[in-house]
Amino acid sequence: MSRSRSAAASSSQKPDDMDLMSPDGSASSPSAPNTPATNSGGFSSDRKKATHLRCERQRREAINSGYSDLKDLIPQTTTSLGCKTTNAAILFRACDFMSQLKTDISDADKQLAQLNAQAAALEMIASEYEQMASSVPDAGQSTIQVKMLQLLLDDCFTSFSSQVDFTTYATITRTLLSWVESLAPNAEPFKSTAGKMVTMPFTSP
Amino acid sequence: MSRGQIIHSGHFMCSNPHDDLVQDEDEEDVEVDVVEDDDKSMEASSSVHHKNKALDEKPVTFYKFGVGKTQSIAIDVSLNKLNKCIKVAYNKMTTPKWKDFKGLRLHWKQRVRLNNVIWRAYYIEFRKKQPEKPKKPFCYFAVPDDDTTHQKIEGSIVEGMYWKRKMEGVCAQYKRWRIRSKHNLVTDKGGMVATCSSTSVSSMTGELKRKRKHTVPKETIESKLRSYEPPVKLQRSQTPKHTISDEFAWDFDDLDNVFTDDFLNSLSEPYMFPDPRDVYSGNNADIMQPGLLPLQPTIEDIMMSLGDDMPDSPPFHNDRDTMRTPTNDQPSISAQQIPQMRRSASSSASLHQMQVAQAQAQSISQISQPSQQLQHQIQIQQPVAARPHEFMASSIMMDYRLMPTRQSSAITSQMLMLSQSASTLSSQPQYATSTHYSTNNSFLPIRNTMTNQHHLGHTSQHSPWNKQQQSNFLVSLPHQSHVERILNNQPPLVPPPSRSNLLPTQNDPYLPQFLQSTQPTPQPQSHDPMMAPSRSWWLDSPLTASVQSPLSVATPLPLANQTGPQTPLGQLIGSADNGFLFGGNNTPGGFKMSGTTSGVPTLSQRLEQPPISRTSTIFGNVENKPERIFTSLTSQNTPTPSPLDISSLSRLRTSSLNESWKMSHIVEGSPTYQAFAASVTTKPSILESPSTSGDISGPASVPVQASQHPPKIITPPSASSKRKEQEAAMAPLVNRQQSCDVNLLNGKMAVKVEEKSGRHYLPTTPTELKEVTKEEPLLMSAPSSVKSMRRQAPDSTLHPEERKRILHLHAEQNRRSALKDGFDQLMDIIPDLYSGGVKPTNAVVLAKSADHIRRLQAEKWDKTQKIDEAKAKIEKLNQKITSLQSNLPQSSAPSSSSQVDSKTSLETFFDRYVKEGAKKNWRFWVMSQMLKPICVTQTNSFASSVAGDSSSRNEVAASCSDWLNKNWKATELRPLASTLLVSLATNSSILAEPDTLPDYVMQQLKNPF
Repeated sequence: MSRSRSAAASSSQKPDDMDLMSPDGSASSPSAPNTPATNSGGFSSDRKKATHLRCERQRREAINSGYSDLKDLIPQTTTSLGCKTTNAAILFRACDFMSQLKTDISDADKQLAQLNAQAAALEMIASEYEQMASSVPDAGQSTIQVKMLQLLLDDCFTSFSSQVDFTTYATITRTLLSWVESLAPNAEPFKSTAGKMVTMPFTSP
Repeated sequence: MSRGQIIHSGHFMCSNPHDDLVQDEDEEDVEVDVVEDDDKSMEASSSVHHKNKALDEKPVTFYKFGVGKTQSIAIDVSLNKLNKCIKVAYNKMTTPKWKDFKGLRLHWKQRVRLNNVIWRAYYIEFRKKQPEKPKKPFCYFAVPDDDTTHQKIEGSIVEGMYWKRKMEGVCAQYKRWRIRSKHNLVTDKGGMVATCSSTSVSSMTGELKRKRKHTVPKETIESKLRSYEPPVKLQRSQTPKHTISDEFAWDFDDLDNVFTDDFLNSLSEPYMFPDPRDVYSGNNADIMQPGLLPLQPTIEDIMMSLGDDMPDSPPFHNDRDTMRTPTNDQPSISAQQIPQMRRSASSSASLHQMQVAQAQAQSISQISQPSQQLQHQIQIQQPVAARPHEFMASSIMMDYRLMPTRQSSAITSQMLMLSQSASTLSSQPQYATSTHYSTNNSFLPIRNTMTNQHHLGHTSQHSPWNKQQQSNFLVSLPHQSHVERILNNQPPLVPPPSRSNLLPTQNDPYLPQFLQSTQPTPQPQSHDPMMAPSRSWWLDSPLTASVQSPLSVATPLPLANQTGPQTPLGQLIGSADNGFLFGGNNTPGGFKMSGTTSGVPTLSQRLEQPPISRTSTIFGNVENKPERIFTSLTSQNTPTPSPLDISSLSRLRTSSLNESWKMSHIVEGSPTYQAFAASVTTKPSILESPSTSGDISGPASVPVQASQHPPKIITPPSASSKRKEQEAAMAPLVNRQQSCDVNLLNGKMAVKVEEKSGRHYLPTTPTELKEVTKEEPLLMSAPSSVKSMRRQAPDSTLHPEERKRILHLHAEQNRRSALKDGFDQLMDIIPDLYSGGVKPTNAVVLAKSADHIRRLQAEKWDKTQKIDEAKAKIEKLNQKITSLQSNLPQSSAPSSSSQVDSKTSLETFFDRYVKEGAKKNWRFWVMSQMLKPICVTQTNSFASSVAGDSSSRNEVAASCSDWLNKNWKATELRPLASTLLVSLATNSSILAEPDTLPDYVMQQLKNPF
């Protein structure tokens, strides 16, 4: 363990030096001849100071904004109202809230799976009943009411297909509405259809 | 010794036979009065008759006395009477009532009163020997109930005699007033109006003349007195002439000036009182009434307050006292003789006292003679008498109240004579003077000088001695009257049992007033308001009490009769007092002791009286006015206000307790409130403390603690996993991970440096350069800075400053450790911490945690949406299944059920036909969607309107034609078109891409829901 600690310390020292060198390099790039005279020159020290201050300010601002964002996201509790909240408290609350959200999501997933399974089962049942219902209409076709309804639909479709244009929505609207007016009882084509429906029970066996 | 006993028995024997004979003579007198009312000339004849009677009585006494000694029959009668009296006395002494009296507080006072009564009896005995005897015995014979012989004989006569007796008393009072006024006028022969001083002098001269009259019969009866008092003979020879001439001459004048004379006398009297007080006090010593001495100061106060009222009352009281005295003669005589018999020896001094008493009694009887003559004169003039009757009636009421006081006053005056005569005698003058000094020294030292002066006066001159006697006689009466008032008034204030015991003394004299009150009913009402305003509060209260007590007694008459026999018990107590008092003469030391003991209760009673009297005055004054009957009720209610007062006091105490209780509540409330406030104050302090910041949120504290533990446990396996990954991964990956770890450490150190730098800037700006230089080595060598922190802690150059610094360091360490723990937890939870190739600094951790929270929230919302959609889908499927299940029975059910379900069959047909049509041409679906409501789903649709299969064809055709006429209209079809168009635009993307419509239609066929 001691070896690993010493190795970590030694490794940590090297990257620090590299990181520190990089801003120095950037600072020295505009003025190449000043690099060897850093100790004696005041201009370089002022620049370093300004950059350092700016970096620190940005860092602090980033951290403070992070804390404020978390504080806004976390729901406030009754106990915390009216009391100053420290940064540590914000961190702990964020952890709790995240864990709670995860549990909620897992619960929702379970519930959703159950509901989907139920829906699938119901679909199977419905399909079976539909198949059963398909066998029943054979007897139903014999009824007079069914024949009358079929007659009505067939006649309407013939006129619909001939009049309505499905090229665009505008054309669909215009043609459909005009077709509806033609279905009025006063219109000539519908009169014949109505007459047929009324006489159907007498003509059919 | 033996001679003395024989004499006592002889006297007693003489008096008894006369009583029987005198009754007959009294009856004759009544007849004479009736005759006088008619004629004036009879006045002279009546006076002559009186004189003749007196002469007749005198030889009778001597004759019987001689007969008693010689004849056996007379001796036997007297002896029998003696036996009766003795038996009665012994029986009374042994009764339990006697025992009860001993225990009472008023024992001494009762003794004093009874003593006075006994002295009266002595005088009355001697009166009987004179001509006026026959009238008086009736009064006192009637009083004792035990003497059955007297009651039987005198029952009816007594009632009549009482009324007449009292009228005589009234006449006697008038006569005395007139006698005094005559003397005053004689002195002022010129007829001038007399001044106060002159009237007083005239009254003294009048008394001198009266005493001369009294001395005349002494010569005839007693020879011994002649030898002792030779100079008095000369005065006696002169008196009868003047008296007779004065009486006849001034009768007419008195009638004209009655009111004026009375007023003048009343004005003169108050000036007489203050002078002889000292003599009065000296006389008390002789009388042996120590209980009265401490009451003297109150008497002075009364005189000051009642200066105007005093002069009116004394003359009436004097007359009344003399008339009332015979009521108690017989029983008192028997009581007196018994203690005399018990005495071992009787001294010569006692014999002298007896002789002097007899002489005084004779003098009093003589005074009554002229009063009777005046009585006859008054009766003749009726119209003039009307007013005096009213006035006298009111005075009678007053006289009753003060009756016992006057009796005592008469006795005391007689005692004064005894003391003075004793002082003149050479046998025991020193002994008498010694008693004076002893009493004065003990009670009233100031009066010693006055008594000495009087004593010198006696020794120097004999003639002024007579004048002083007269003045003392007048002055002593009112003094003692006041004393007796106090004594009488005190008992009603005492609790009721004592009142019941005292009532017998008052019952007998009260009965006649009750009888009198029946006639002058309106007068007593007028009496009360007249007297009330003039008197002070102290007198009003006892008077009202005395008024109440007789009314209470009067209303229940049988009770009064029952209380009658108690009177002899009081008299027996008086006899005991006599023994004590006579013993006191022999032993002055014993006298002093008795005086002191008697004085104490009186003082205590004085203290107790005022508050009780005030309450009684309030009740008495209010209720006496309407009726006297209620006064008895008020008297009974007098003890009730005391419990009310007690209840009020208890209420005050309870109220004070309630207040204390309220205060206790306040006191109890305040500490609880303070404790609550303290607890409230402690809470924010706890919250403010950074060390316990983790525990601030109550509900969150538990999960915080729970959450803290798992990451600690998890961190070592994560570290191990990281190491394994490092080993397993390639070299560049290892380098990257190592660089990440280094970045983390740099971040932590940066945080510390930032904090330090921030603090250093605040105190001083010139040190900023130094701080900058310091920061660089900190970044270079982090562990060295930690070491320097640790080294600083143990240093303790300045204790308070070091302590503060150490505390601050600990606080900062706690804060940093808390932040570090928080960041560690977040880093463990956030999954994408190392993505993006960015260093995991504090800002990065915070930002990524925020993003993670947002992502989780969005995911949660999506899940909820999906759940809602799934639930809706399930509901639709359930509905579909129910509808399909309802359609299935058609195949298996009989034909009747199919008829009922025609609508459902049409619906299923419609759906199936639409699918088939749409497969051929997709446009059919669009049309079917439009026409579906009017054909199938609506209430007024084709399916529901058209008749069923069971109906006939005609009915089917008719229903169809009706439906087409009513529902198949433009108004019904137009909204269907608009709804279709809207649904197409919203659900499908036909607006943007018209070509997609067929695909949409196919999807709808597959998924109708």
